[in-house]
Amino acid sequence: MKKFKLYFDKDEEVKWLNEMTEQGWECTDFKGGFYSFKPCLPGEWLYEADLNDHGFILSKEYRELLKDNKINVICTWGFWFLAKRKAQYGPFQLYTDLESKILQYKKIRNMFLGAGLVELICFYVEMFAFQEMKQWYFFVFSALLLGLFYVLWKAGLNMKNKIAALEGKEVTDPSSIHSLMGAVLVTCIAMLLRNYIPHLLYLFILVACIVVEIVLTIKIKKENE
Amino acid sequence: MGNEPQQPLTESIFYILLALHTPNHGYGIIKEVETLTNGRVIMGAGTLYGAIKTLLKKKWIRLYADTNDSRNKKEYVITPLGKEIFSAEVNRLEELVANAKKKEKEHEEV
Repeated sequence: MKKFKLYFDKDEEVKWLNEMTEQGWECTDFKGGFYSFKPCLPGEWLYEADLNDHGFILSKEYRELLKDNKINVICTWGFWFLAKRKAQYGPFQLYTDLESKILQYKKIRNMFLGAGLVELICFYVEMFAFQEMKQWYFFVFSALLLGLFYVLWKAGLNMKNKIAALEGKEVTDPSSIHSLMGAVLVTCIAMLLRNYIPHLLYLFILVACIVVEIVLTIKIKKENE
Repeated sequence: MGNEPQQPLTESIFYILLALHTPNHGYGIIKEVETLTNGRVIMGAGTLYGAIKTLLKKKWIRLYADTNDSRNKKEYVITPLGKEIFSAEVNRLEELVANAKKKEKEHEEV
């Protein structure tokens, strides 16, 4: 049995996998959003997800440690690995104290924000290419990269909020839409300045972004009162 | 080693350093700490793995030897620097407990 889901929050993903096991489905693999399941006893397994310790690779040392703790590595995908352990061995948590939990969330946050920045830079490159070559597909690539930036940045800010919550601090960060609008705004200004001639498209997007930014700023100010 | 006051050690770090006064591997450390604390502290694999990496970087522990054991499991042991840090922490904790007990006694005598 296969199910398609895209998760950018490991806690939500683990919660869902545990729910699937409650219904009698054991996760056996994951590839590009497709989870494979086979039947099992309800509640037989507990799940965890974590970053590989060496980028795309889960080291032999960590694998051995997990195996000693009766943890099965389901698979690795990108920077992550999925793991499960039989519920009979007790509650399953890879991070059992606050300090190490926060440290790990910080690693995940930095990964998302870093990846988001890479996408943003690629977006600017594509936008310049679009302006130079005037081919429609550069604009499409730009839009896709911007979308990717938005998703990754949002995931990073989500981690930032989790960390703030664990540290008992106030969550004061602007929303990810803010970041998105800001990025598009700066891009449009750059595009317009490059040619000194107003391109109607850029001008239109610029004005729309400014309006959305003002609305968002007012909204956030209202929420913080 | 500067003259700056040492930061308190987290419970996990404290117990890992204690356990590594004798060489041990990852899972062995988890089991020993579980026994020492009567099941109160059961360290997660992620917590332990991260702590080992940090302690190696700080040079408070070192690799013992991974060729002795036939299964090639990496073992770690505390370093002299680690022992220094650890005894300083024990002294700090003793001061805390001694002061607490003193206040308790003063309260009882009132």
